[in-house]
Amino acid sequence: MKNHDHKSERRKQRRLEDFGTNHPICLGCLFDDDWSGFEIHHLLGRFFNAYFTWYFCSNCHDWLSERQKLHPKPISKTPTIVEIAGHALLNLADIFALIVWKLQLRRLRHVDQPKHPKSKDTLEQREFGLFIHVLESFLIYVEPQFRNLGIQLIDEANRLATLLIAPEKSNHDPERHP
Amino acid sequence: MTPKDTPEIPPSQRFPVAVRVFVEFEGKGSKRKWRKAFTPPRNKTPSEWTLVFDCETTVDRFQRLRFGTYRVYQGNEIREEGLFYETNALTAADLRVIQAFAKKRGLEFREREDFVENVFFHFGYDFRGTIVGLNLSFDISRLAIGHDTARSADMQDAFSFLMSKNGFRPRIQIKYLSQRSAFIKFTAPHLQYKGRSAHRNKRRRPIRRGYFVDLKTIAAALTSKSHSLESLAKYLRVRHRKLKTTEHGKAITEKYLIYSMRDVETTSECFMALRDQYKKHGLTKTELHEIYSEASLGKSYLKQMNILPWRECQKDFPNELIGAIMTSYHGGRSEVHQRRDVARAIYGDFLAQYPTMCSWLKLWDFVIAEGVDWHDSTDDTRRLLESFSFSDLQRLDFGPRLRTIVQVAPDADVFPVRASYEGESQFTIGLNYLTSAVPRWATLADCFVSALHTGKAPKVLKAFSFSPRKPQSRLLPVAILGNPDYLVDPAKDDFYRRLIDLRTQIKQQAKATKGDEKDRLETEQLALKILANATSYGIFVELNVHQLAKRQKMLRYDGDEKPTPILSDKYEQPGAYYNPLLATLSTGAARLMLSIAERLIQDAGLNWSFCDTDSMCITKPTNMADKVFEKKVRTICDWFLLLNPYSKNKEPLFKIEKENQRIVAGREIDKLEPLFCYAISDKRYSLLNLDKHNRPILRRVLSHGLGHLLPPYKNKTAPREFPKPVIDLKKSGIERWVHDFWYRIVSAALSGADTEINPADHRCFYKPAASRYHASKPAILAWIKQSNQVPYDEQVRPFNFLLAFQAGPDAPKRRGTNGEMGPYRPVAPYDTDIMKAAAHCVDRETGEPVPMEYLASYYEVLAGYHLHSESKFLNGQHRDRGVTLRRHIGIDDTDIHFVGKEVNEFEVQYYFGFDPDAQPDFGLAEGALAKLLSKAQEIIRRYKLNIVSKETRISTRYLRKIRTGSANVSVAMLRRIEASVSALEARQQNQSMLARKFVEWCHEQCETQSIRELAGKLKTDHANLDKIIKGRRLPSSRIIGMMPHS
Repeated sequence: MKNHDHKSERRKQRRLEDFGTNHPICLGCLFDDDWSGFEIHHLLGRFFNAYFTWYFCSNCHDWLSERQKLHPKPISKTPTIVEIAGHALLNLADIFALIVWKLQLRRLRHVDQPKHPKSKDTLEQREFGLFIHVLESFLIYVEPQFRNLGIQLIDEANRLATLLIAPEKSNHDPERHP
Repeated sequence: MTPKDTPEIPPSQRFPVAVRVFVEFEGKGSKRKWRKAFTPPRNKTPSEWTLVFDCETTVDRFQRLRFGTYRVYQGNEIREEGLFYETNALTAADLRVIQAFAKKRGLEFREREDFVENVFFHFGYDFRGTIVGLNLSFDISRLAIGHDTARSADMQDAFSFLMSKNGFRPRIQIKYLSQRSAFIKFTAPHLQYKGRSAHRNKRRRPIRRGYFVDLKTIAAALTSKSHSLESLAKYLRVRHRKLKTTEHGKAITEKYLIYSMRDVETTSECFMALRDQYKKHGLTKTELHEIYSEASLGKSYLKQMNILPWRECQKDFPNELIGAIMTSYHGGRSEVHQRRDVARAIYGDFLAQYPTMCSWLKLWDFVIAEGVDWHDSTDDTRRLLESFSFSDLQRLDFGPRLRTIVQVAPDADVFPVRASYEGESQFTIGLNYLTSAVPRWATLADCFVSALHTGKAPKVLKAFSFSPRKPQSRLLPVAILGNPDYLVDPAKDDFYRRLIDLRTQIKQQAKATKGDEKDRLETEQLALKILANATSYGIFVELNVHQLAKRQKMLRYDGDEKPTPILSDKYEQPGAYYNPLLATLSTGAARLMLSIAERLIQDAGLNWSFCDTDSMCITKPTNMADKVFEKKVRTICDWFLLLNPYSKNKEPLFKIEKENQRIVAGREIDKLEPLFCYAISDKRYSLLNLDKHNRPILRRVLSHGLGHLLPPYKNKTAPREFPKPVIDLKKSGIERWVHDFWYRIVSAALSGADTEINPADHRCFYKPAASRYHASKPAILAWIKQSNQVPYDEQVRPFNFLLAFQAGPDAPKRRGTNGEMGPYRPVAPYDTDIMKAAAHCVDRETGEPVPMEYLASYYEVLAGYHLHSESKFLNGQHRDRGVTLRRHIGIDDTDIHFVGKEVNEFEVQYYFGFDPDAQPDFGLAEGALAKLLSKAQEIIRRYKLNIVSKETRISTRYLRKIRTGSANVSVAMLRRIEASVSALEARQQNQSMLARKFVEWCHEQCETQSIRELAGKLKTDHANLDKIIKGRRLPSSRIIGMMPHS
C-alpha cells in the first residue's frame, strides 16, 4: 500500500474510532456519504463537559456551534448541576431545531417523495411519511419547551450563585472560551 | 420415607473438610489492583480490514520461524497477499526458492521485520483490522523479538511480547486461558497518545487494544468441539481444504509453499464461514473477537435480551447471605458404587440435566428479576422435611419449593462432603454420613437426599427461602440464530424450556430431511444445546482467581453472621453474571435426581455401578432374568415422566442411552444389546458388550487419568493383538491406546486376573511416559530457564511445547527449593523423539539434570491405574472389590478449611500434577487455629520431645518453639502433630509393656544375684537400677535392649 494511502486510511480509522462507529450517520440530516465529512461536536459545550460528544456532519456541526455561541455565558468557573442541566436542555433544543429544519428542507426538496408522478406510495412509505410528520410536529412542540426550561434553569442557577457566594475572581474569559 | 435397607452407620472418622466461601476486599475496593487504568475503546467494532497469517517453523525444540504466509482483506476482497521469512532460519537456497515463488505468483515478499512493521501493525493496529489465525498465540510468539512477564493487574501470568524495535509500537500481551482460548491485546504504546488538538479539546482517545480472533477459540465456542484446521475446514465445508505435507523441517520446495499458501486460504475461508455463522445469531452487542467460549456465547445472549446481571441490579444483597449460599455449593456427584465387578448393566442419563433443573425450579425468573427477596422459612422447612412423601418429588410444582437453603446440625445425616479422604492431597466430594459439631448450610434438595437415604430429616436450625422480584423492565425478545421462528421472549417464556423444546423440534425435523438441510438443522440443534448448557450453570458460579503481589486484608463470608477478617494473596473475582444461588440450587436439584434414581433402584431390588453428574449405570443382581431387569429399569425411567417440563419432548427425563443399543454396520439401532460395565473409581469406568467368545467389545471408555499422556503409539501403529475398536474414536475423542489399555483391563477382569496383572505390561509401554503441554505461562517457561541462557533466536519461547516426565518408583528423592525432600519433577523442551527429549530433561524446581534411568515408563506410571482407589468410600481401597459403603465423617471446627475455586489452573495441574498452592486457601474457622495449636502443645507436653520428633519428622528445636508458642506454625504442621497421636500412643503403650516386662525380669534376676551385679551386667548404675525396679523411673530403651529376648 502506498504511503499516502496508508496515512489516509490511518486518519480515517482514527476518526471512526473517535466517532464510536464504523458507519457514522449524521443525527441532523442523515448524511452518511463520507467519513471525512463528520466532526465531533461537544454536546454541552467544551466548558461544561469536554467528554460528552457526538459526531455530526460539518454543516450541522457549524450550525449547532453557532447556536451554542448564543447561549448564556457560564456563571462561574465551577458550574453547578442546575446550570449544566439548563445548558443541556438548550443544546437539546438546538438539536431538535436542527432536525426539524432538515426535515422541512427535505420535504421542500421532495427528497422523500416518489420520483415518478404516476407511481403511488407503498404502505411503508405512507407509514414512514406519517411517522416523519408526527416526529416533526412533536419536535416543533417540544423544542421551545426545552429551550424555555433550559433558560429558566440557568436563571435559577444565576440567582442561587448570587445568593450563596460572592462572585469569583478568575482569569477565565467566557467571551474567549465558552 | 424410610428406605428398604438402611445400612448400618459406620464409626465416624475425621478428615480435613473443605468448604467454599465468599471473599471480598476489606474496604471499598481500594486495593483492587486489576482495575483498568483506561476505559475500553468506544468503538468496539473492528474496521473492514482483516489480516490472516500463518507461520511455518522448524521442527526442533525451538520451533523457530522459518517463513510465513499472509493475506489482507478489505471486506471480502483480497488487497494483499504475500510471504515473509526469517533470514537467520533459512539457507540461501531456501530463500531463493521463496523469492522465485513470490515473483512467479506476484506475491509480496517481505522480511519478518518488514512484515511486522508494514503489514501486521499497519493493518492490525493502524487500520483497526482483525488479526486472524489458528493458534494465534503461537504464531504471534514466533514473530516476537523478545518477551517478558506482563505487569498489568488484569493480565497476570501473561506474556508480554516485544514485536518491533520501533519504540512507538505497542507490545502484545497474551494471557493463556486454556487450550482453546487466550486473551490477546495490544498494550498502550509508548508515545504521547493525545495530540495537541485532542489535549486542548479534552478529548480522551482510548487505547487501541486490537481485535484478535483465534479460529480455535471461535470454533470451540460455536461448535463445542476442539478443531484442527483440517477438521474445521471439513466441518464448515469450505471450498479449499487443508493439504497434507511431509516436508516440515526439510528444505523448502514450491510444493511446501503451496501447502502454506493453502493454509492461509483455508484459514481465511474458515474465518469467513464462522463469522457468517456468528452473524446469524444476531448478537449485535458482542463482537466476534469478544467470544472466548460457549459461556461467552451464553452471556452474549443474556446481554442481547437486555438482562442486567444480578449483582448490578441488587448491589445491597448481604454478603453474609452470599457466604452462606457459597458454603452450600457443591458440584455434580460422581461416584463409583460397585467397584471392580463386571456386571450386567443398563446405562441411562438425564435429559439436559442442568437446564431441566433450572426449568423445574423456575430459576429463569431469578435471572430476569430485578433482585432476590428472601424470608425466614425455618418452621415451614421443618414441617416439609418431616411430612413429605416420595411421590411429592414427582410433582412439577414441587420444584419451586426447593429454592431454600437450610442451616443444619448434621448428625449422621447424608450430605455431600468435600474432604481430603485417606490423607490425599486433593479434596474430593463424596456423599457420606456427616456428623458435625459446627452447623453447616445445605440446599433443601440435599436435605431431601439425606432423608431419602437415612429415613430421617436432618435437624434444621435455620432456613431461608428465596423468591424473585418482578422482572426487569427493559427485557427484549431475541431470535436464536436470527431465526424469527426461534423467538424467545425472556419476559414470557422460560428460556431453558423454550430452548430444549426448540431443540427437540429441530431434531425431529432433521430426522425427516437429508443432505444440506439436515446438516443445517443439526448445526442449529447443536447451537441450542450449547446455549442451554452455557446459560444454566457455569456462568452463575464463575469466579476468576487473581494472584496478588502480596497478602491483603479481606473479609471472609463463611456462613456465620459476621465476616472473618483474613489475609490472603489470592482473590476470587466474580464473573459478570455471578449468582451463586442459582448454581447451588440447580446442582442440589441435580444431586436430588440422582438420589431419587438411587432410591428407585434400591426399591426395585437392583444395584448401581457408578454415577457421573447426570448419568447412572444400573446393574442387575446375578439371579435376576434379563427381561425382568429391563422391565424394572423402564419402570424407573417412567417414574421421571411426570417431571418432564417440556412440551415437545415427552420422553422420560431419565432415559436409556445409545450405548445400550445394538450396533449394526457401524450404527446404533433401536434394539437393546446386553451391556456390561466395569468401574474402578470416579470417572474411571467402561461400558462393554461381550462377543460369543466372551471377549469385550468396548462401547464407552473415558480417558480420565490417561489423557494427559502422549500416546505411546498411534492408531496406524497399534499392535495387531488389540482388536479394532467398534466405537468411532474420533467422535468420542478417545485415543486408540486408551481404548486398548482399557481392553486389557477389562479382559483381565473377565478372566478374574485384574488384581495380579499390570495392564501396561506390553512392549509399547516400556518407554518414558511423557505429557506434552505449552509453555503457556511465565512460571512454566521458567522451568527450563537454565537451558534458555542463549540468544533469543535460540531460546525455547513462550507457547513452545514442553515435555513433562515423571520420576520412577526407584528414583531417589532430591531436596527442593523449599528445603524438603521430594521426587524429581523432570521437564524437557519438546522433541518429536521422546527418547532424545528424555536425555535432556531437568528438574523443574532445581534445574539439575535428571538421568534417564530415573524416569518412569508408561509401565510404571500405569501400573496401579486399574486398582485406583475410591477413597471417598469404605471398601474402596486398591484391592477391594464389590459394593462401596458410605463413610461416616465426624468433624469439628478445627477440621474445616475454607477454600476457593477447586479447579483453579485445572489444565496445568492436569498435565503437570496436582499443585496444592493453586487452590485459594482462606484459612480455618475463627479460633480453630488456636484450638489446633493448643492440641499440638498438649501432645508435645504429654510425650517425650525426641519421640514426637521421630514420629512427626519435625525437629525438637521447632517442637520446643511450638510448645512455648513462639513459632509461626502452619496448619499442615499442626495437623501432622495431631495425626501422630495414635502412633505416639501405640509407641507409649509398647514402651510401658516392655518396661513392665523388664521390671519383672529384674525381680527374677534379683532372686539369684545382687542389684550391683545385675547393674554391672546391664552396664548401668546400681542406684539407677534400684529406682527402676522400685518404679520410680522408667527404663530407657538401651537398658530394655539389654534384656534377653526383649
